[in-house]
Amino acid sequence: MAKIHFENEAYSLNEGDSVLDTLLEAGHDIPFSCKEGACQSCLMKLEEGSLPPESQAGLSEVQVKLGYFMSCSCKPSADLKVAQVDAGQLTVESKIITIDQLNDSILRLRLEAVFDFLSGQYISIWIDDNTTRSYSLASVKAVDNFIELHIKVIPDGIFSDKYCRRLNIGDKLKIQGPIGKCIYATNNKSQALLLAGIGTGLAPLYGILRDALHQGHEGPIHLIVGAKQASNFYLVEELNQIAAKNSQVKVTFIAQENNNQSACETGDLYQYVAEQYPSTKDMRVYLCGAKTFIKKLRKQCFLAGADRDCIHMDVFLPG
Amino acid sequence: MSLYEKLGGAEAIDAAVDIFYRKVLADDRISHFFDDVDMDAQAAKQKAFLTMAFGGPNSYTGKDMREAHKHMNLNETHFDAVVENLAATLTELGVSEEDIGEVAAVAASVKDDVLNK
Ligand SMILES: Cc1cc2nc3c(=O)[nH]c(=O)nc-3n(C[C@H](O)[C@H](O)[C@H](O)COP(=O)(O)OP(=O)(O)OC[C@H]3O[C@@H](n4cnc5c(N)ncnc54)[C@H](O)[C@@H]3O)c2cc1C
Ligand code: HEM
Repeated sequence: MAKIHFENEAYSLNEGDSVLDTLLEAGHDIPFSCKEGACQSCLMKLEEGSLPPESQAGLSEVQVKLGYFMSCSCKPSADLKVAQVDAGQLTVESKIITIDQLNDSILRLRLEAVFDFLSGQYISIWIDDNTTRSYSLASVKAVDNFIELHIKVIPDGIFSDKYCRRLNIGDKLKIQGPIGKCIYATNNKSQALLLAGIGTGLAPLYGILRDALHQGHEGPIHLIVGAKQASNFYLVEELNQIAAKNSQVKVTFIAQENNNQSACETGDLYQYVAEQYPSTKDMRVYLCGAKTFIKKLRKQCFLAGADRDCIHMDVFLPG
Repeated sequence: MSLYEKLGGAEAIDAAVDIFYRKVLADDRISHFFDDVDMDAQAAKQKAFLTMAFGGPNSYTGKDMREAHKHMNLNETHFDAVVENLAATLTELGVSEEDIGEVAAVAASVKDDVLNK
């Protein structure tokens, strides 16, 4: 059985457990959030031993060189000596520029662009020494020069409700990132793009759409936004304007229920995609939002012909 | 030349994996075994499967195959479905009948282990 050496103690790793599980079990305070290799709040540093490659998936070259790894995704088969990374090493401070209400339940936060980023990546916000939440980047660095986040307020949610309610313009947030590769990346400017998301899954898609246009994408871009009710949609005006100005862009809002008869489609998003795109061969697909949604639509798009490496995803795992 | 080399080695595996995976996911007889969220991890396993079926370099023993499939309670229908999808994939890639026969023979050689007989 492999052992984890940490702060002069050694802990045996139980079958199937990660380094994070083992150290939490032993009573150590290790920061973590998604536990699925996305948020990177559980980063630790290797001192001795060799790491399974998946524990460094998605880390920057510098982070890999420093021996950083995600303790939630590290299930080694031989002994490791590891150390904690100070949160100060991972984060920078960024001031809040604006806070707006986009609809009943969605906040828009704009922060100073304290680092370079690509639209569709995400950051992790540190709420305290052990707690982080991740949010996707809806702005385009070269155009906006600020970080824009769309936050769905979940009643009593630690960050989206309790913490956000107390925030004011000028407050500083500790942010880590940028992380992720759900970005506009194609060397074929005429490729057809399909962007689909539910709820604040629109945040990264809004960024990717505007980034693609900024970079001169010429092929058709179809943004499909889904929601339970028509009243849940946001940035409708802005998106319709983008579509009006760019003939290759089509924007569809599709709601399961449409009580107030807004100008949107009513029906099932999966079915709508299947009807519009019986074949997704040669297309590039972006899927953002909850895991169940992405799982289902990814499979559908893959079966309809899209290559696995042409399907990009930003999965909003709960913290 | 080995069968694996004749089929085109690692490059052929890369070409085959998406086609094969798509067929398997669309096949109601077996799709539930492969319906994992982590499609990339699944694809990695399928590469291992294809490499083995192509007679390529792998370090699996019969015991490993037994272990890997034991919990799935597989039967003849499942096995036939996998072999059929594999053959259809290879046909699509332009592989000859004869070579497909050889691949099927490799699969048949691990049948008892896979079905835990
Ligand atoms: C890579 C990544 C990107 C993300 N991007 C965004 C983004 O751009 N915008 C955004 O709004 N969120 C995004 N999220 C989700 C976000 O990180 C938080 O999980 C979410 O805001 C809830 O945090 P909280 O502290 O407010 O609620 P918590 O206190 O963590 O949760 C409160 C309760 O709500 C439940 N819950 C969690 N999420 C949801 C949900 N979506 N719907 C209903 N119930 C829920 C929890 O299970 C819990 O019971 C992203 C997550 C990841 C991993
Ligand atoms: C035809 C002969 C077969 C061969 C040569 C074969 C080979 C393999 C190999 C090499 C792996 C990877 C093992 C690992 O690294 O963990 C694997 C995994 C797997 N096989 Fe097969 N297999 C065969 C038949 C089948 C059949 C008939 C099914 C079901 C219909 C099946 C379902 C699976 C699944 C679901 C996994 C993944 C298990 C996991 O996620 O841990 N296989 N197989």
